Amino acid sequence: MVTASTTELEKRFSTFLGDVEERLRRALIARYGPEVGREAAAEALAYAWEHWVKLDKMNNPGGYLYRVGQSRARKFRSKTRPLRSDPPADTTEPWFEPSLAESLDRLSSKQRTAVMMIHGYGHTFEETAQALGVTRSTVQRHVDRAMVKLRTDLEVSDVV
Amino acid sequence: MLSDLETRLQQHAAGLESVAPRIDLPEIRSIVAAASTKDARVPIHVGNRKTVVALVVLAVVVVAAAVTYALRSETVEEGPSIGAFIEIAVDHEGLPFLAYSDAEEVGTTFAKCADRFCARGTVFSHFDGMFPTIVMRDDGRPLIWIDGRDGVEEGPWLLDCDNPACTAYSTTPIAHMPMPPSDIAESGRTLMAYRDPAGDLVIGTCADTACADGIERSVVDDARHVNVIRAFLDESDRPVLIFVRGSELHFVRCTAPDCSTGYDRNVIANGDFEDLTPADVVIGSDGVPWIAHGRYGNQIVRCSNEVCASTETVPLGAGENAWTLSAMLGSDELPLFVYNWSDSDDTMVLKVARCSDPSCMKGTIATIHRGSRVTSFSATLGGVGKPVIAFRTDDGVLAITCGDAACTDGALGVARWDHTESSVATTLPTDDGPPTTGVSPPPGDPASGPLFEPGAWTRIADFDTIFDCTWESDDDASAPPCKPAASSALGLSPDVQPVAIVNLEDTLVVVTQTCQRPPNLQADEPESVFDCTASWATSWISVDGTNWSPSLIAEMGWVEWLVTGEAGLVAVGQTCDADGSCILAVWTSPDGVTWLQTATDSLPNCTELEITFQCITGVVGGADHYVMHGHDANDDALWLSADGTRWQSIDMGLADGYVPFGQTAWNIQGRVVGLIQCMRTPDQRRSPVPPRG
Repeated sequence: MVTASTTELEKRFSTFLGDVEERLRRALIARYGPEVGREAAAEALAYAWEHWVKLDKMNNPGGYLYRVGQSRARKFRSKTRPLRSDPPADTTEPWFEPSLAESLDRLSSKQRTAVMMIHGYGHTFEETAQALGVTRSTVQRHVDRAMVKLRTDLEVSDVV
Repeated sequence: MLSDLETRLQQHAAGLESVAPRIDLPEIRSIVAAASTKDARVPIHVGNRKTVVALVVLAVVVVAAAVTYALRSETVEEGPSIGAFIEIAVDHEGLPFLAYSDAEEVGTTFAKCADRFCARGTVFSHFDGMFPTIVMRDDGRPLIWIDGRDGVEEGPWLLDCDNPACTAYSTTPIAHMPMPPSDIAESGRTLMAYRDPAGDLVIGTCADTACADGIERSVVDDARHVNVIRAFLDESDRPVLIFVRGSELHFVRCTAPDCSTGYDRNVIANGDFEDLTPADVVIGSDGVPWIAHGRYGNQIVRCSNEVCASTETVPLGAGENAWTLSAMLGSDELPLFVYNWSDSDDTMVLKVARCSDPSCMKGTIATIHRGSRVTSFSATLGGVGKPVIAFRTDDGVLAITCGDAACTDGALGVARWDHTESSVATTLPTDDGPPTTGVSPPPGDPASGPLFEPGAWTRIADFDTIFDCTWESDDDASAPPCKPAASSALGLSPDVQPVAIVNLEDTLVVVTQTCQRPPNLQADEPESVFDCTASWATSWISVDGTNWSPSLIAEMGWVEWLVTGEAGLVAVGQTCDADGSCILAVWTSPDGVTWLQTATDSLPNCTELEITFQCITGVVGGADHYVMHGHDANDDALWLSADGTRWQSIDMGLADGYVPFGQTAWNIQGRVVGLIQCMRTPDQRRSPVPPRG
C-alpha cells in the first residue's frame, strides 16, 4: 500500500512528471502534431495530477496517460489539420524539410509515432513501448515498416 | 553512425521540440485550476470555525416555511479554485455535509450545512489530505476515508467523526488496505475494487471499516486493459461494479458480500468505451440496475434482471457526451442521472436527467446550471427527497437543492425524451427563465400504451466461420497472412465484426469486416486497421434471412459505411497496403454480389488525414443521391454522387476559419439535410461570439 503525506504525494508526482512528461509529450506530438499533441499531453498530465492516488498505483501510468492524451486529443482534432507539422507562421528558424514532414504525415499514426520516438527523439524501444502502452515487438514492427516507407518515399537508400 | 534519414528525423524532432516545450507542474496546476479564471484566487485559510458565506446566486423562489420551493442555489464558499474533489452526503436530518479541496493547494475542507439548502452553516478546518470518500452514519456522524497526514504520520486514514459537523474525529490508519475504499455499507462492510500489481482486476472486501481482520480478494478479470468505473455495495452488501475492458462496458455482481461464492458478469454495452468513459449504476427497489453512460450522446441501459443478463438501451436524447456522470435513485424510486458537459470553450452545463417510468422510455432533462466551469460535482438525495448537488464553479462551491424530484421546477431549461412515440420530442433548454417550449403532445390518447408490441426475436444467421492457419512465432511479422479455408465463407471468427445491414429491394445485405490480428497483439486490445495484418470486407446476401451467401468486397479493405440508393449499394472505407498505408476507398454494387472499386480521382482528398472519422465522418444514401461528409485536406466538407462512382465536392459557404464537422446528414427526397458543428480554430478559441457562416 502506498502511503504518503500530501507533500510526499506532490514530491512523487514531480518525480513522475520528470519521468513521464517528455515521452508522453513527444509521443502525442508525433501522433497529432505539435499543437494538438502538446495540448493533449498537458491535459493528460492535469488528469494525472487530479487522479494521482489512482495513477500512483498503476504499473504503467505513462502508458495509461498516453491513452488519456489520445482521448483528450479527440476534442481538438476536428479544429485543425493536426497531422501537419507545419512551423508556426512567425518563426524565423530554419524548419524541417517539407518533404520529410509530408512523408511522415503519410505514415500511419502508429508508424509515425514509433519512428519519431525511436529515431527522432532517440528513445529506446523499451521506453517507447512503455510510453505507448504496447509491446516492444509492436514498436519494432511499426518502426521497421515506417523506415522502409520513408526510405522509399524520400528515395533514400542509406541503410547503415 | 547515423544514416541520413535518421539525422533528418532528429532534426525534425528538434524542430518539434522547439515549438512544443516542456510541460511543468505550474502549467498543470493552472489547467486543473481552470486557467480561464482571471480573478485572483481567494485562498482558503479556514480557521477552526468560520461562518459559511451564503449568497443566493441563482433564481431563488422560496416561500418561507412552505413545503414547496423551486430549485435553489447557495454559495457555500467563494474562491475560483475552491471545490475540487467535492463530495456530499446528507445526514438523517437532511443536512448536507461537504468535503472539498482547493485545486491549487493540498488539503480538504469539511463544511456542515445548518439547513437543507446550505444557506447557513459552518466550514471547519481542513484535514491535510485529499480525495475524500464520505459515508454518513445513521446518527449523522460522517465516516471519511482520506489520503493524507494526521499530525506527523502519513497515510490513508479513516476519520470517524465525533459529531455531524466533524469538528473532532478519531483517526485510524488504513495503510494496509490496497486501495482507498469504494464504498462501505451500514453494516461496516467495506469494498475496494482495483487492479493489482499483476494487472488483475480484484474485488476486495472486508467485514469492518478498517479491514482489521483481513481482506477477501476475488479476481474478476485478468486482462491488462481494464479500468473500474464504479464500485459499490448493494442493499445486501454484495459488491457491484462496472468496468471497461477493451471497448466494452462490463457489469459484475457478486453472489455474496465477500464475493467468495462467485459472481455474475455480463457485457452491457460494446463500442467506443475507454478508461475514462463516464458511467454509473443505480439499483432499483426491485434489485434491477439501470446504468447510464456518456457515450453516443448519453444512454441509459436498463437491465433485464439483477445481473444484467440482457439489456435495453434508451438514448437520453440529443446532446453531448457527458464529461462526468452520477446516478441515484429518487425518492419516487425512479432513477436520476446528474451529468456535466461543455457546450463551448468557456461554458459548462450541469444537467439532471430523470426517467418518468421504470422503462426510461420517457423522461426529462433539466438544465440546472450554466455559465461557469462545473469541473467537479457530487450528488445525493436531500432530506426532503429532492436531489441536492454540490459542485465547483469559478465562483466557488455551490449547493443546488432541487424543487421537485426531477429538478425541473425553476430549472434554466427542460428537455424531454419520449421514445414511446415514433419520434423523439425534444425541447431545447433555454438560458433564461423556466422552460418556454412545451413538449409536442402525443397524438390521440396521451395515456395510451406503447405504439409497438414487439414480437420475439429469432436468431437467423451466424457469421462465424473457420480460420484455417496457424502462426509459428509470436514475433514473426514476416509470416504470410492467413487465408480463410477454401470451403469457408470469408468472415472469420472470432475477429469478424458486423458493419452494417441494409435492405436492397427484397434482399438483405450484411457487410462484415474481418481482421487478422497480429499474433503478438493482446487478446483484449482493440484492433484498428493498422493492427490487422490482413483484412477482408465481405458482403452477405439473403432473401429469406436464413440462407446467406458471401462475396468478397476487398482484401486488405475496411468498410465503415454501407448505404443504399437508386443506383444500388455504396460501401465506403479504406484499403491499405502491407505497410499499413491506407487510402479512401468507395465500392459500388448493384446486387451485393458484384463489387467494383471506384476510381479515386473524384474522391475526397484524405491522403494526409485519418480517413474514417476525421476525413470522412459519415455517408448516407437514399433516393437518387449519395452523400459523404467530413473534412478533407482541401478543406472540402460535403460530396454528392448520383451513382457512387463519380463524386462532386459541394461548397457549403461556411465562414473562413471554421472547420465543418459533419455529425449527421440525411438524404431525404433529394435534399441533403445535415447538422454541422462548427468548431473554432485555435486562433478563434477565445473569440466571445463566433462569426456566422
